[in-house]
Order: sequence, then C-alpha cells, then structure tokens
Amino acid sequence: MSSELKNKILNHQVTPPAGVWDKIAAELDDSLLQHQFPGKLYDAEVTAPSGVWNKIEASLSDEQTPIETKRRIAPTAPTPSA
Amino acid sequence: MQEELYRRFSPRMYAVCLRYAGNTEEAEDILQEGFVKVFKKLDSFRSEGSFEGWIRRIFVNTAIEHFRRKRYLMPVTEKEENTIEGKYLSILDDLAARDIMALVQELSPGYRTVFNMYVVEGYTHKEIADMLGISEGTSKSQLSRAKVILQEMVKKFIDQHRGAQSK
Repeated sequence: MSSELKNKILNHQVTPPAGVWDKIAAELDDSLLQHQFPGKLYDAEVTAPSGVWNKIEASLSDEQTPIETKRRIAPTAPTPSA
Repeated sequence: MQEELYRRFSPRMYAVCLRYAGNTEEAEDILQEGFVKVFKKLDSFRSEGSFEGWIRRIFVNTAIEHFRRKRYLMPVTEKEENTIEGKYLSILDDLAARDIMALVQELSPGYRTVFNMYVVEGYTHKEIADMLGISEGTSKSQLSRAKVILQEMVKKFIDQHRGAQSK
C-alpha cells in the first residue's frame, strides 16, 4: 500500500450521525443518577420554622376577605316639575 | 384541612425550599408562597399523578419564579467543562442529607437550580430549558459545571473534616 493511500485512510474523517453527542452526554449525566445521594435529597425532611403556618393562614384570610367599598350614591337629578 | 396538609407536607417541602434557596430566609419565603399557591390551586388537582408530586412541582416552580424575580437565574456564559465523574461525588452517598444539602446550598443559584432539577427532581434538560428560559446547551453546561464545583466542595469538606478529627 502506498504511503499516500495509507495516510488517506488514517486521516479519513466521517461526521458522526446527528444526536450521537447528545446520547453520550446524557449517559455521562446519568452516571450522577446512579448515586444514592439524589434519593436522599429527594426524601429529605426538615421541620419548617414555627411561625410559617401563621403567616400562610394570615395571607390566605387576607385574600378571602372581600374588600369593602363604599357605595357611591349617584345624585338624582331633580325631576322637572310638570 | 389546610393546616393538616401543611403539617403533613411542610417537612418535605421545606427541604425542597432549602435545596433551591441560598439561605433559610429565602427558603421560608418560598415555603410560604408555595403553600398559598397549593391551597389556591387545590381544586385544579386532577388526580392524574401523585399528590406529593403535584405539590412538589408547585414548589419547584415557586422557587424558580422567586429567583427569576431576583434576577439570580441569568444564564451564565457557556463554558466547556470536562465531565468528571470522580471519587468525590461517591462520597456524597455516605453523607447525611443535612450535609449534602448544605453543600448544594453553596452552589450559585444558577448551578444549584439546574443541579436540583436534573439530579434530584429528574427533569430533562429540555424541560429545564423551557422552565428556566435558557437553552438546552446552557442547562447541560450548568450541570457539568455544578458537578465540578460540587466535587471541589466535597473535597474541601472531607479535608476540613479530617483536619478537625486529627486535632
């Protein structure tokens, strides 16, 4: 085999099909998901600070209270005397 | 009924808030805002998935909105990073949830959000991109960078721990 042909074969490049990189990247990312810590974080529980419920309750009742509006009474025009 | 729901789900949802927030004050704000939304939207729950999953989605969205308002979620410059899957991330498996959460909280808001959404909540990069208004590429590079930073933090955490033990 001529050295020129050998070089051609050695240096031959073909663009990989579209989407291959995405699959490789996804697999690399998914290696993270094989750990246990994501599950630990997903299931974690922390007691909320004591005053939060009162604030939520207050905020809900604020929105449920209808806003009082003063009814404006339109002035009545004097009826023309017959 | 509302208070009962709060008592039942607040420990889990507060943990979600702490993971997305940088500090307890922000987490408390998100917790409050999230539950108000849950109670207002309760009628729209269609029983198609789990109730906890539905609540969790509301909290994740609330956290995203919270940071968007504060302009924390500006997309970072795309940066190529080597995807390192080193020994340090495996160490996270042995740490208590509290310690892992403290480390995740130290990530900057952008990295932290993508990391939480992809690794813990299980959203795809496409979903993350749509929800955060960034490109899929940015979501991928943020995750990749978050992993690198987290590894460095775990290494520091271990070194500090060893240092404290040897004293």
